[in-house]
Amino acid sequence: MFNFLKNTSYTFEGKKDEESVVLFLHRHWYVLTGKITTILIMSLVPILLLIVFGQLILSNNLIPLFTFLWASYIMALWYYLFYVLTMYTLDYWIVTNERIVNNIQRGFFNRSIAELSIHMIQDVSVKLVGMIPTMLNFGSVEVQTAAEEGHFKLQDVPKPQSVKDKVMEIIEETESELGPRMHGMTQRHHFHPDKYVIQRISEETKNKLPETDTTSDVEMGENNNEGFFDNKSIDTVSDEGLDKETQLKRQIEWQEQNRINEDNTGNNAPSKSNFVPPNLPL
Amino acid sequence: MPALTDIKTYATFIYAFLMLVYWSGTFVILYHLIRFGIGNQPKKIAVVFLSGSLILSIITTLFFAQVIFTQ
Repeated sequence: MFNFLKNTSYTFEGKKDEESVVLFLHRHWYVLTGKITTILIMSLVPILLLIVFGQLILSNNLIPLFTFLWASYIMALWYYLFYVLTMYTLDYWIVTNERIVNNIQRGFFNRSIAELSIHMIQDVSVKLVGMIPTMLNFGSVEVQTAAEEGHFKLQDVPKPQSVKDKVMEIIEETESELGPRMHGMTQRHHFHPDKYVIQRISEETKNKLPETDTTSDVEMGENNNEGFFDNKSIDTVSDEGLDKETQLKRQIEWQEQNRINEDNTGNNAPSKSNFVPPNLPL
Repeated sequence: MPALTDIKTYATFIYAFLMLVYWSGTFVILYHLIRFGIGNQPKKIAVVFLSGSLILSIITTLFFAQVIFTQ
């Protein structure tokens, strides 16, 4: 009947079949001490009242009323104590071999869940601030993601150093299974660096190349010889403001185009300088 | 001035209403612990809370009855 009180394997809503829970973390018990101390002090208030007003209570035969109020007061404190414990219990982090899940419980009907994929983690840092956290060994573990403002904070967790080591271990295991990561991505994201560079260069070139210069002298060919000055768009473009990569690419294109034009000049079209109209006396 | 029996009746109704509020709150805590809690720790907390609430409710009700019947 009471099997549910025995140790069971951790499972949670949305857990995948192949996913395994590596760490299940709550805040350190120290964060509860303030509230529990307050509850303990408040539970002593009726005793204090009995000491101060004892004579008055006895003389007026108010003992049954006083004990009833005392019991009601303890009942309310009991409820508050378990409210605090419930909020503490439901505020947790789960580290699995695939992700980190953060469940934040701020009230009975105020619950938020955030999760971060292990593949997105870039670095993990530990912070222990203050004398008590250092002595009791608890602090925050900050997980930085690839996103600009993305970070995940595991606050007031016990043994933060071991938590960090464990997370790093999972990342290494994932990398060995899926291959090295690049800017927070794994090979699973189908990232192809060569394709990316080529695409980037062509986009830059497209953006930086000005439109065809209509005032260029090459277009004012006297002989109206179309096809002869086909490389005008390349000749008239300045290299200023372009990076070395683009300049080199343009230079190769220009040389290639010149070679074609030289062939054309030799076979069919004469160049501007050595053009001699046919059937005219020299 | 209302009769003493009327006061006792009103007090009993008020007490019953307060107990209803308390047990509704108890249900909410138990529901959260069992529904959203992970592992066996929340279940243990739920059992302790339920037992304590039952005992305290019985004690408070006995004291209330004492007030009603002795006054």
